[in-house]
Amino acid sequence: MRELFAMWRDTRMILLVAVVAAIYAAVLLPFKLFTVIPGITSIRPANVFPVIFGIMFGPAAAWGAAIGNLIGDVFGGTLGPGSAFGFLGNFFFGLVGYKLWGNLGPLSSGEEPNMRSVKQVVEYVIIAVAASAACAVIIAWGVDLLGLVPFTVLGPTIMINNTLAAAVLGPPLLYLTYPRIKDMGLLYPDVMREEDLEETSFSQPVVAALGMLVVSPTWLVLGIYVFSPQSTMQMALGGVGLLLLVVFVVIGNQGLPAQLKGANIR
Amino acid sequence: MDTSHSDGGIVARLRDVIFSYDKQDDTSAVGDEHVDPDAREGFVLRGVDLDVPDESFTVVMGASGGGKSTLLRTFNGIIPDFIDGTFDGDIRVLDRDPTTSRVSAMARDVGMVIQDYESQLFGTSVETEVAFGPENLAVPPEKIGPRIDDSLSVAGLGDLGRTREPDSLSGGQKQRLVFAGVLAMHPDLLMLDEPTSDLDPAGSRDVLSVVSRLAEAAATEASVGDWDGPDSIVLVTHKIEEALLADHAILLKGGRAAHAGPAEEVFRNVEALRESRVAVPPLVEAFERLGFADEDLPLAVDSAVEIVNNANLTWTPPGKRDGYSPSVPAGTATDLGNPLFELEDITHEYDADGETIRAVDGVDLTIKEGEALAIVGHNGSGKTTLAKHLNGLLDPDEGVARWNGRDIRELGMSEVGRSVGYVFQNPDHQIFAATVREEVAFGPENFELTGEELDRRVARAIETVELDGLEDADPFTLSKGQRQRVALASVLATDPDAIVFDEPTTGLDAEQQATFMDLVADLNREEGVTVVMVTHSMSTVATYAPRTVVMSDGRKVADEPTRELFADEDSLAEWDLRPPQPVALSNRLAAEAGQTDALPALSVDELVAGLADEPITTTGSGGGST
Amino acid sequence: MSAASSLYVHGDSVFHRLAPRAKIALVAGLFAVALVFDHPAFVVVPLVVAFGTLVALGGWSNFRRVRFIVVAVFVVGLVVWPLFTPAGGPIWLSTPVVELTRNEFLVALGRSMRFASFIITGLLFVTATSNEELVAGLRSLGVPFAFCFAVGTALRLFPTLLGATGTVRQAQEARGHDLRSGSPLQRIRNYIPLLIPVFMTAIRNVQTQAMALEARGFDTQAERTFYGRQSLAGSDWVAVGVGSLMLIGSVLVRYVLGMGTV
Repeated sequence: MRELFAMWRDTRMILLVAVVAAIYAAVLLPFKLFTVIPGITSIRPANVFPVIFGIMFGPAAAWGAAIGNLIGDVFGGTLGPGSAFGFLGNFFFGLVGYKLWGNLGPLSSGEEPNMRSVKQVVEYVIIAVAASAACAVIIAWGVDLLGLVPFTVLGPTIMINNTLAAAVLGPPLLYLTYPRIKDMGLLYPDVMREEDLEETSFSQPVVAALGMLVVSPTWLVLGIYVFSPQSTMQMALGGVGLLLLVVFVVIGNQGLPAQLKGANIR
Repeated sequence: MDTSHSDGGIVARLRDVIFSYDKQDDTSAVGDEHVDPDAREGFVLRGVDLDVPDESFTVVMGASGGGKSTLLRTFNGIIPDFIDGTFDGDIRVLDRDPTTSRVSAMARDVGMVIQDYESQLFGTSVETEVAFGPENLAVPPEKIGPRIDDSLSVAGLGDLGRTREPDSLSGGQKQRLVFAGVLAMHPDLLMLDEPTSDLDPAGSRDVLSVVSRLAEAAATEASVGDWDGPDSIVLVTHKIEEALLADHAILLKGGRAAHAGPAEEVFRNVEALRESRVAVPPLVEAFERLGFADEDLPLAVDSAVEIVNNANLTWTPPGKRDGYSPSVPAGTATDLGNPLFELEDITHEYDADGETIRAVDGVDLTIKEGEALAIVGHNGSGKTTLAKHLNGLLDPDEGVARWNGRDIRELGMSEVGRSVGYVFQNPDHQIFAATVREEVAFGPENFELTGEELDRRVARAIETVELDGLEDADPFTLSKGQRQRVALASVLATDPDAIVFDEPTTGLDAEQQATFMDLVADLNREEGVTVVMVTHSMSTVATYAPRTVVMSDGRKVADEPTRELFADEDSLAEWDLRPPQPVALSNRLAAEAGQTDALPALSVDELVAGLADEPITTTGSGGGST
Repeated sequence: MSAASSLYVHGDSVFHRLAPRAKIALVAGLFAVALVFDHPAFVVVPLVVAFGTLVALGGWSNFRRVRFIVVAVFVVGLVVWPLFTPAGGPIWLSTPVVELTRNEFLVALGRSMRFASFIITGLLFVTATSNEELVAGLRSLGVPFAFCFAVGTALRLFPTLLGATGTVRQAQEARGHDLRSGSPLQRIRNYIPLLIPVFMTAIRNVQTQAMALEARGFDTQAERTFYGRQSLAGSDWVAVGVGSLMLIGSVLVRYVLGMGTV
């Protein structure tokens, strides 16, 4: 978790936050109309950014996606109390990628995310689903809490929109851009200081990654099929889900730095 | 002036400075061969020894990739603090050692302005932008207000609304805002790295007038508000007209300082300039070829006129206006076919902040097959908007645009798009594929070309733009000039009849510009491709476009042979267009000789021929700008 | 090109001139009223106030830009919420397929109004608050500088990138690229040639930007000053008072007096 705060010391990471936010907002805006109308699924290509940028830029993408979504609200005319949940949801949308890549135990390819093997694509798609779900449940829960749109309606909408763009566009985009961004020296393990990315004594990267992988989809299913909108149980579900996600962030770690080090030694 | 910094009149002293962007194990094997810095391999600086005099305006010139920008980055610690690589050597700047300082600490004394203004603006308003630097230096807030006023006024932006967003400014204003932001930090040494390369002529002139004002302040200790201005200025540029503002010049060659001295001397030293692959000033080149000694060579039109008069030379114009009009120096297709484009009464409007802006206003234009035509005019004159009607990227609100006699609006991209290529200003706005070959194949594939025919066309296009051997390279790793050629190849591969170029040479240096435009001229001359170039560069127009259209406020105000257009300097001045030096000199000489219907020389070759009264002999390719 | 992206409308109204913090307090008050009550007769108050103020400040064109969103959320809310609301009260609408009770209708209407009210109030804030004030507002709420800087720089880069998105689209279109061709899956993939130039151009500049930033003295570890930090004026305090009153008042009316429910 330390990396989320330590990154604010580095000029490049701060600029990456700004650039990720600006890109996300700029590509999000033309499709703004569909983001707030529940029940409409559409292609929203910007939704691939939090996941692939998360994998490449780590914490800068989490903050960047959160801020970018907020800017989208400001310029799209949809700023309101719901924006707070949009901020949080997109923060996790960007965060899940770098926490999970390389930490999924048997599901991980064990390789850098250059999409040169099927195993990597499988690992990526699993991550895209988990990240999409985390974003969907947090926003849908918040908006339900505010009495704007029922969880049952918005949860699946966001989930489908996020997953479609992230899963379909992610592998080809990473294939084409991961090596280039690595060459530019802008992958987060190359930019950040090593000590800010190290494990702590209580780190359980794999447990945390698998935990995140399980929590969000479970939350989504329970929220849609088991609990009714605006019910106390729905609220409680969200509280527990969010708490678990935070716990996994605290005990989690990032997988890419070790992979890069391994590659260098070889 | 505060002289405590100066080290015996030297503001910056470099000794044995070597640098490579990649890690080198052996710093003794710096080698001697020229390397392309875009490749970021090998040593860029190979043992630089130089002194920058205090209270001077020093210009650093050298070939593309000769390490000019790299050199500047050692002055404020960017190398080696920010950019990791292999560094060795001793540097003293303002009595400090930048190699052991943080960039942000050097920023207190050394200000830097670079080419790309978009990358240097961080604020949400004009005021926050200028306040940003002083805030970072922890200047007390009550002192920042006056600094903002003074810096904006020096940058010529005193009238600008303080709450304006930087994005709403023109390129020239943005770059001057960068200047204001740097000046507000009160640097003793100001470093300028090609500050006008991304700007149009008007924007460049505005920026240069700021530079001149600062240079004057440095020389005379005139004050900028309560501050006496930067003590010294170092400028890196490839534009000779900018370099001539300086009083001291350093030429880099092969990663070393090859020549240094008073600017007037260095820029008359033709041999030294050629050795360092620096563009020789056109008038210097002309008079050197006419046999004048180095110390007599003119740098400005005025002194050239004087020399011509003193030496009793006669000027013979290259043709008579009512007789035939000789073609442009680069040579173009001579057989013009049927009208390819017919634009009738085109009007195009767009909405900006609720206001309707008429970008193009009733323009008629006919372009024949095989023509090479330039469209010029300052920013906002409507030249790009007009050009985008040629391939249907924009549809007219009124009027009709025809291609081969058919209304473009009804044709759709699949038909007109493959026959009319469009090369955008910035190649990075289209490059996405993993290899040059895939990038070039993208267009033809969209037009449903496959198999052998596709491979053949792609290979030929890559060969035409002289990128063979780089088919499998990642286009992102190529230089800007090469990337622009990838963009051209990707258009050529669809085998178009016509190509529209939208300011294709912006951001390229003189050498890259000439390479690119020579390719374009060849396509027109050898293959009969119709060429339409939207451009700011008058030397490009003079060398490559026999016909020029001038746009102003959305209207077509002139459309005539370039040579005749350039003969009318009063009109050019009215449209804010400045002809290249050979044109200006020959117009002046013709006027003084009372030749009222004379046409001007468009190149150094023509100028020399007219003064030596000899037939024109072309040296080198294309000529003109190199 | 990019000038049309901002919703900020220049003005010199009392609301415009409030400090960002005071605007936030007023807007938060309006949000609170819309959030606390369920009954449309109560929720309509912040909606009308926000809408009236928005129009008075010259924000009508902004409303026009989002009117489709407002209408859509309104209609969708009216359709969706009855499905998740306990039936109650007399039946107001009876069709062979569904029946709509008074409670279901009122709750749905209240929810739709709440959503609309949120959007209009947010729009009001954005209409009268420039990007610069937005960042200053964050800063004045105690948000750390580095974060505020990132937000400000993102706001500064955003219109540039929006413009670039348009240029890239044209550049690929000129090469025969058609977004609308192919199978549904292919249509998603069609975005690849658009997305890569847009974000790679931006990311390519990060190194240069970081260099320029440090050359401007930017250092997160060093001490810095803040220019133009303003303290709250009398009118600002009034606005903060009004905002707080709306918040506290609506909570009292709703939970102590028990009014405003369906």
